[in-house]
Amino acid sequence: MYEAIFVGTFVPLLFLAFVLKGENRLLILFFIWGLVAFVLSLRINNALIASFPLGMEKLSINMAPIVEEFAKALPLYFFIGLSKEKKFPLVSFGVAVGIGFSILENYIYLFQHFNDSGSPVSFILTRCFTTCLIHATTTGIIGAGIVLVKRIKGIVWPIHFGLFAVAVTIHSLYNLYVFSSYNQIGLYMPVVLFIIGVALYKKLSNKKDEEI
Amino acid sequence: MITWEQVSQRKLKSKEIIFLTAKGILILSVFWAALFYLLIFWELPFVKLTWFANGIQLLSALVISVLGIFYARCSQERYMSLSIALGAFTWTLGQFYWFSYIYLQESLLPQPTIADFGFISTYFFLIGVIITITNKIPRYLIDLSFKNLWPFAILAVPLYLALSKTDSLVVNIDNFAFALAIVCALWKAQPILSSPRYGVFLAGLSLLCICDILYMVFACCIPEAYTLAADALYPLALSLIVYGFMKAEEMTDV
Repeated sequence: MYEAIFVGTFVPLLFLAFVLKGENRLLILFFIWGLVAFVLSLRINNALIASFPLGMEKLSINMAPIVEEFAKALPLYFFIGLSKEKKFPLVSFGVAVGIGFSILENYIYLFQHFNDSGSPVSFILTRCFTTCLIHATTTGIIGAGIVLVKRIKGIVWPIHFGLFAVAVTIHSLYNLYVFSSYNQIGLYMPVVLFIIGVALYKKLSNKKDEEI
Repeated sequence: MITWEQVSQRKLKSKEIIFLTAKGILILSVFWAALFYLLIFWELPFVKLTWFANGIQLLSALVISVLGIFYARCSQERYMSLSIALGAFTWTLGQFYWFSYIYLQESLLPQPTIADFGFISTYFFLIGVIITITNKIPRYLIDLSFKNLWPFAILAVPLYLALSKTDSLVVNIDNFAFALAIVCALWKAQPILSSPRYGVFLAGLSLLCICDILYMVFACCIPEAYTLAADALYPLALSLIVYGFMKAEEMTDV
């Protein structure tokens, strides 16, 4: 089923990307990458479950965050090598990847719970305010990191690895709490992180000398 | 009207308050480390002690990273200070994961763990800072010779553990990743090793490296109580790093 949803979303968005220009096109392409990253991650996660004696919970806490964060951040690495003069809104691009990823994930979860009693709206709303935001925030962090380290010569890769590790740790923490009896913490964590992230982003964007 | 002088004075005052608080945290960390190793001999239950020690580690790392972030706001080397603060913050995240895991699952973490991502990324941020510092030193002043290769000897530890103590591939990868990060940090720090200005900062970095080496050895040799070896030293190492960087900058101010 997810292949059909993927193709049904991917192809029309490609048409849209074809029509758009400049940063708008890039933004849509990053969003499309989010969908591709989800398919890639799903395949790898399924292969991991098949190869190792892992349950869904163990996979979500210990392995999936590494796979997912890496897959989402892949196109952002391309911008590390570009010259300092070319400025791109990498935070927005990162957020677009995360949102694209989580939309396809939402569809999958929705279809898995299709036969459950009760309205699926509350279920999907909860996911919108939690999983969507955590995916958007973690990839946004990596995008922000690339913008930040491009200003400091010679330390791009160490800092980038560091930020990737931050994204993975935050994602795992979220999964750890969501699967625990304290899942309320897990549910509020993405909202808090997103609000802090947006506030910081706005503050830095308003500064004249910052091009974040 | 607020004058520029008033603004800079206010900045200096807040810098001084942060500096003194970091010093206070450092002194408290020394006392905690001494107390912890006394408590080990008191024969307290291991689970209780490790739970308490992890709580202290989390709290102190959080305070240290918040201090670092506030310091970055008034620091002349804003990006370097921010990297130090982020290094401490990622360590805090790793510790938060660790603490949450042992609290929620009521068991010790499996080794290796996602928390290691948080711990190892501290080195990445520190390597970034060290490279920035050493880039400012004129090349002709850097005299590296054969004896400066000593950090690579650290790789013997994971190699020994892989050959004689553990067969687990993921544990060995984790050990080698940590050892490589340590080697890289110490290797890059060579040009400033003899600088008195960075003495405290480097003491903190060395202590962090020793803690991680101790941890990796104990995790393979005494798996039932591996956290006890370096539990109380981590807050000390982190506070030395943050305080040491502030002190180095203060020496420039003077």
